[in-house]
Amino acid sequence: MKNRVAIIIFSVLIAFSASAQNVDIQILNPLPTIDLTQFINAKDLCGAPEVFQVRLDPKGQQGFIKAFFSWRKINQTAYEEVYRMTSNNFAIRDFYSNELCNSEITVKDENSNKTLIEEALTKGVPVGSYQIKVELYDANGTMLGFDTEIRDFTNPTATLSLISPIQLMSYDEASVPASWNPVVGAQTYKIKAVRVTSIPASLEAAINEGTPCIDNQDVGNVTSLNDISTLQSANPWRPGDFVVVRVSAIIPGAGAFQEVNSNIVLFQIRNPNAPQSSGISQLVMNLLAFLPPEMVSPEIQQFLAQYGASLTGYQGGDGQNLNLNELLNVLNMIIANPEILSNIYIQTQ
Amino acid sequence: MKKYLLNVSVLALAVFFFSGAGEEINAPAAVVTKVVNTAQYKSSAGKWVDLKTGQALSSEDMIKTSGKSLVVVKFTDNSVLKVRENSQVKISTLKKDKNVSKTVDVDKGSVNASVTKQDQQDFKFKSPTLVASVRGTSLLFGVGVDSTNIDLENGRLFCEAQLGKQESGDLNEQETVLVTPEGSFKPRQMTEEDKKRFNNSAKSNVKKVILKTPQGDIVIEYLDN
Repeated sequence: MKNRVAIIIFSVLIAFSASAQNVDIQILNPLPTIDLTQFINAKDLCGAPEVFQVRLDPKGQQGFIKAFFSWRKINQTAYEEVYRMTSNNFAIRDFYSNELCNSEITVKDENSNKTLIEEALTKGVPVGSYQIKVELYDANGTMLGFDTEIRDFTNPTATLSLISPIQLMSYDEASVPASWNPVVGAQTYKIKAVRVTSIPASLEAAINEGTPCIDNQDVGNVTSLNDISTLQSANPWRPGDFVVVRVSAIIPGAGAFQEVNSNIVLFQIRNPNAPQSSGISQLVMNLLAFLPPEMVSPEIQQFLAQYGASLTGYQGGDGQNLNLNELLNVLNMIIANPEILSNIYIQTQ
Repeated sequence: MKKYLLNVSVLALAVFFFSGAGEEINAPAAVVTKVVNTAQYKSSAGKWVDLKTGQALSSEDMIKTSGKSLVVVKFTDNSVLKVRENSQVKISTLKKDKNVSKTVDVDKGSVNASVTKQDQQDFKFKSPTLVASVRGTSLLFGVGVDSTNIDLENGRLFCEAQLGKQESGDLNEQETVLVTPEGSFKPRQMTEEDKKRFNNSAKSNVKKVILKTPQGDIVIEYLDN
């Protein structure tokens, strides 16, 4: 009896070992870039990037596959099937996911979960756990093997931050570097810049409503450029101008592209004929005009002229860091209501 | 018995005749709770000296603010004055029976006031061109070279022009009036600009933004609610 049990266990282990060797799924693209809507049907997979590769053996023998793609939401225990397909017979070989529509490997039947896909369409790339399973059968329908790959994806929010230009720093007219962090799955990046003649109340409004000097210029799959001034097509910036700039990551999806926008950076074009400090220090200089002369010491003006361009950050009175918009809101409020301005002074450690 | 009645009558007559006179109070009537930037203080018999937070104010004491300065004064009845920049005011208190009347003479500049309900007591704001009697309101009393402006956020004021036609009348909430030496009293509804002026005059909390540089920080102070 014991021998019979051992033989059965050994046979099962051999069978599983063989299965593992016959089918091997290699996920190529990071799963965060996978859009569930790509699995509406094989045609969408065809238009998508290569999501996975399936390595099959024995090569050359006639057979077919069944593929399943499932998704388990966070805090749920069971996977829900998003898409399943069965191929027609083909000569067994390795293939990529996007070959399921334009090769001899054709779809015999398929089914997709419309509810989940509609949810994905409304929410974007969902968080949770993804499971890809491929089963290989010979022409007679005998399973030759299978493989399953699971990936957890908990943070789908791709963030894109401009590293340079630096907020409110001054750059030479023909030397404005730009760099940003890479976004997983981005196929390309686009840059938009709008020049303004003074610091705008809203950077968002300035970039959206102004006449662009760089109009969503596609710069390819790079994350830094030595000089974006060469990208200007119209309304070029001039010395003394302020410029708002934004980069967007273009991430391919099923039938549509997802666009992730960066923060908006405001910088200034240096004017060699009128050396000035940063835009913020110019604003502060303007505020000095609202103070009684006896409160404005020459040291303050000298300090602003000398060090105003080397601002490293902004804080509120209780030490919390302010972002540029918060700072500009306060400065704009003071400019609109100069009677509330109380004092400006230099504090050295 | 006749003698007793005579004494009572004499006392009653004395009370009747002297009750309207009142007496100035020497005890502190208010205290300075905040000084932003520089301001000065002068007691009735003293010289101008720098004003510090905590200074007690008695009748006939004066306060003077310079540019971008602010002084907050709190009375014993919890009424609050915010003496704005470039202003000069004198505080007077007068005891009448059990009541204490308070008068704020504004020589120049502006004062935002939040006056608690006064029951039978008087709280007046005076300028060369106008006297306003307050029963409990929030107002901005501004005195220019030859005119006085009042913005009334809530409550009601009785106003009397002091020169010219010497017209008088009630100023209702959300109304403003400008009184000149001509002496007319013609209130109108507060505009957005008037409301903005009033709101800014009520701000007394000092807030800061700090611009940091490796060589030191640039500190900008402003007033907020």
